[in-house]
Amino acid sequence: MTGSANQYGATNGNRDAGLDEIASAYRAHAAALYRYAIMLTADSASAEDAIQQVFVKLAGRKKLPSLAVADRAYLRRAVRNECYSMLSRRRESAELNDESILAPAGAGPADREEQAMVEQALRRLPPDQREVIHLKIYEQLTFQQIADQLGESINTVAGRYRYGLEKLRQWLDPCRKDAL
Amino acid sequence: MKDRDSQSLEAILAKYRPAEAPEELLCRVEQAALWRRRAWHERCSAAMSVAAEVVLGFIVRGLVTATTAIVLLLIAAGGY
Repeated sequence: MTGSANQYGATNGNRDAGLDEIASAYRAHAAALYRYAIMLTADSASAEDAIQQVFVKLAGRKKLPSLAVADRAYLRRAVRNECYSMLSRRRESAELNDESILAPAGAGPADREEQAMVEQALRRLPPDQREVIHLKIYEQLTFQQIADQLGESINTVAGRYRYGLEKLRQWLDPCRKDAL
Repeated sequence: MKDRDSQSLEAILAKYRPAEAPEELLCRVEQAALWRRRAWHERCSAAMSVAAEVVLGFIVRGLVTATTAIVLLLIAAGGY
């Protein structure tokens, strides 16, 4: 990250404290928020737009929600709202960016075919199920934490996870047989 | 779904992670957000200084008017 609050902030001693806050929140959370957004929208261009919208809107606010800006849960909710609003505007026929939404987790050789199948299966899932799978598997949150975060009951969240895995199981069956 | 099924599926999913944001995107968004903040702050400062000038102008005009009125009253009271 090249930008810094000092680079953009101080003008003739007339300083806006919100700049520091936005800059440090951005540096701390933007990468994780992008990963969340790309999994939620299943599209890298939409994820980019969502992150940009959230931070630019935040920067344009007269009064920052001071303590909340540094809070990742607050920013995640803002990104989530932006993503769902994009998803509701997106037409079914809209062509999605074909850039990968996943990357191999380890340093070993990537199984391109398997990765493509997993990606395709994830893209087919409804966003709410994909979201819970992301939060559970990639962010390693508990169902309780996910429920608190999304403002849903723990049963709803666990149900979305179970249904999501069930669908993935059907779609990835050939892949799983190879893995076992 | 059986636990074993779900575990093997979770193991497959865990072999991957969500794609990372390109570095240039992160820089671009940070700059856009910070420039917007600075522009907003500068507009506010400009508006505040205009407001301060207007208020100061009223105060000065008020003082001049009051002083003039007092002097005129004094002159009138003195019978000059």
